[in-house]
Amino acid sequence: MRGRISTALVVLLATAACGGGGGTADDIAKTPPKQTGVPKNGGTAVVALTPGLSPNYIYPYPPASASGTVIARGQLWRSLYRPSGAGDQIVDTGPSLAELPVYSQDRKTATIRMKGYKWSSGRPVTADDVVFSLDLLKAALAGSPANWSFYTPGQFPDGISAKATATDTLSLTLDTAYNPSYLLSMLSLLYIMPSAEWNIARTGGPHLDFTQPRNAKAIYDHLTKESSDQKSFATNPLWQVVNGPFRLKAFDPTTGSFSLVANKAYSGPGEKRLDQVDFKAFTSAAAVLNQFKAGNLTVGTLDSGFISQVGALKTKGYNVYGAPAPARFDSLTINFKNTVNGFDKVIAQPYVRQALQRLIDQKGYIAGRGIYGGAGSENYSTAGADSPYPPAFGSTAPYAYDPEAARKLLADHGWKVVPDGATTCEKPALCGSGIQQGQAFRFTLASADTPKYVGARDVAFASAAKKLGIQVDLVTKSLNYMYANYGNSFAPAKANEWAMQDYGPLYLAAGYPSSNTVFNTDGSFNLGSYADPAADKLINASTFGADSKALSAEVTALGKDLPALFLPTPNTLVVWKNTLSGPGSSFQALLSSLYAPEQWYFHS
Amino acid sequence: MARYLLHRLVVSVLVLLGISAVVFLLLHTVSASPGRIVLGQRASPQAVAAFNHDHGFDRSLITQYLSYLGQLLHGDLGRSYTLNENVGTLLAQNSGRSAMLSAAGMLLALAVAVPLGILQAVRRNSIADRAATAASYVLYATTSFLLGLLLIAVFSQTLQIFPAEASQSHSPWVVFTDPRAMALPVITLACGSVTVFAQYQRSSALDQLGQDYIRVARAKGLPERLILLRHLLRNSSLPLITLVGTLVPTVLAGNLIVESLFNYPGLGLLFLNSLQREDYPLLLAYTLIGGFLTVAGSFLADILVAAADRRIELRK
Repeated sequence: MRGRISTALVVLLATAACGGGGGTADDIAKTPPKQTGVPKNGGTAVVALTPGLSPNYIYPYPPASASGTVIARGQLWRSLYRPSGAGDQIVDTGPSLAELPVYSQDRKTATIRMKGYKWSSGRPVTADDVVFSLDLLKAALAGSPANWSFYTPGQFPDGISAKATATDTLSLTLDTAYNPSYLLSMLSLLYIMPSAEWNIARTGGPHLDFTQPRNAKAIYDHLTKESSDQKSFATNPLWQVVNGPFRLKAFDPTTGSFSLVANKAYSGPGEKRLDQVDFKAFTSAAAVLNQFKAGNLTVGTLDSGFISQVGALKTKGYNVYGAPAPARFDSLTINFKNTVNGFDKVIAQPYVRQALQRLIDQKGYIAGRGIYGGAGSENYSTAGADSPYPPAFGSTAPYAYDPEAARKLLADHGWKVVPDGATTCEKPALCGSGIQQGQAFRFTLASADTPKYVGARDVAFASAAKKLGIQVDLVTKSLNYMYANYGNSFAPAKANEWAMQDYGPLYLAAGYPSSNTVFNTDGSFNLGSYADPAADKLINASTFGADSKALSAEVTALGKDLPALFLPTPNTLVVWKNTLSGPGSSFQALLSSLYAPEQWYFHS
Repeated sequence: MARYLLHRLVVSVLVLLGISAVVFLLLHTVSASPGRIVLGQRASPQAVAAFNHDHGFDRSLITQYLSYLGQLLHGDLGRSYTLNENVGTLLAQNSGRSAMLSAAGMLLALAVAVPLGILQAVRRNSIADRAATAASYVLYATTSFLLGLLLIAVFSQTLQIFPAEASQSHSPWVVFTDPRAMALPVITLACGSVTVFAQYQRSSALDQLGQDYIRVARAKGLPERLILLRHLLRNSSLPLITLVGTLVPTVLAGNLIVESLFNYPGLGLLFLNSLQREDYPLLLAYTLIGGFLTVAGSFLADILVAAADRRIELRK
């Protein structure tokens, strides 16, 4: 016992000295390990849910008034097309419920053939089920546009009518032709629900014609009401009719933890060897880490801030794989309407944005122990990592870190650069339209108070700017304050309160990372009022045009014009026991919070 | 006594009404648009407007407040729009476990601190007293988070005596039904209070040791053990009762750090999540109950002190 106590004290001191189990970015696998071992049938995998995101809803589309997080999205009910978790394609055709759409010449009709998947009741998943699901989504939106967070008024599902032309064939008629890739990305969000079992407005009530909007609304109201009774999630017969690989066995309303067991009728890919998958709710990231270290968890993700713990996790028999989440980009959002110190005039100049981008030392931020600690990836576009729509410049930075080049850009355009002093415009004719002589280069950068790396990278940027005499006034704000107040589209009165903001990551649709609504002039999420007719044209083409590669052109143009300054992307760490295996893609998909436990197995 | 109770009751109601008004105003002026917080930055303006309308956030503050008071009169604390559940149900689900955790931590702390404080006072300036004071300062300077992590590293990950996770059972009696799983959270919680209680007790006991009645008891030749147990313990514990009374609201706070570290879902965590997502109905209910417990805690302490010390008379 004394020896064990001595060992404990040594561990204690080591913990206090180096902050944990030790580990560096080199300990993290850059690609998921290959499938290994002889698969065994059975076993329970325990999966850590992301803290703060415990589910409280089971109906796939929670109304906004409930603001729900849905149980096992994609496990109980598949969407028409399963989103790709790898980021290199829009959808994963294998586990999708239908073949890819076939379009008419004018792209206003899409014919979709169902694959013949089965409901848990044994009934096939039909075209009627898709019509039902679309009608219920429309009913939800008729109630309130807030009832579906992916909704842009006038776009999908507005102007789209669906008709089952045969049991297994669906015809979509579109008022406006969409870019096929964009439409596919929207269809990957359409969860297919059982039309024959759920078309009721009260328990035990008559089956209704859901194509009548009034009936669809009544059905929607009934289903959302049933979904508000958390205690009955695992017992209500409604929720046991599933088309995904699992059904719900138990749900704990107090914690949000739940258990899934296999849907025996599921006919999609995957070996389905596990007996059960327990999704465990957590109160904090530290609690998740402790449970990993105690060996109680099989699978989960960890924030890159835990890189120092990678060594301890590997010692405990875990695989650790790290990569940036697909279609995620981190940036300094620019406010083009901020007039303080003539910022709007200054930042409107492309050479200024290029100079500022050249002050961002992405490699240095990644390596910095206080910033990314080695767990990050360079990124210079809105497409993020491994996109099927990469920018034309590939991984070569259009404006690489080069303070001297930045200084020269400013000097060549009439600025008197005073390192560590106040850089001012000396020759207005060269500085650019509206910039006055003697104009100082100074602006406010609002930095989110969490996560930690956000503040650290902003300090590094402000420090680099100071060396060129550019004064960046850093202010730290709570994320909620920034969400509610820093966006010209919804809070124009605050435009002069921030010139740049860093609120952490922005996630676009993983398979189709369009900047629609983000950087188009009238986009509802265009926080900083970026306006460029050429960009609008490209975004329009990627949303409504025929060219499936239009998005690459959009991504390239935005990467060069810099509507925001690009920062490196922190890696997410995926952790799983080395007694568990499955296709590498199923672990990679965890970066996008997509679970595929039907493909996992324990091995000897 | 009855007049005193009535007076305290009226004052308490007025205090709670004042708290509700101030917190309501503060919460609703922090953010102009709760819909933006809940639905996220990317929600369309129409979606945000619809959310705010559905929840009445587009009405005047006075209308909203009066409507909230009307709800309260019917015992309705509102519905959490982030957790999709009645606030009353959420509080009921979590309060028992948090209260039991806090109570166990507090009792353990008192069980250690009271004899320790008296011992330190009796052996004032001895090596034991100085060592205990030094240890107290170290413990006081160690945050619950660090202490919990160290306990997990030693007792869970290395010695493997206790699990790193608190009991996940729904029962509020987990301290008794699953003591092994609750050992580390309770010890972490208790350590945070032992220092304060012990120093308080020591100081109070020192005051009492200088009083005449102790000298008289000693002069009469009473055994030291009896003096300490019958006279000193009771009188020197009075200030501690007041301190414990003021700590009652921590039952509501749920010892957030401990709950978070040991994955013990209770009131503290509920509060933190509602704070992060600006879930007004939950935050308001919390503040009101916090106010209620503060008022009730100090009230209870006054009564207990009066019961323990007959020289004290409660009057308006």
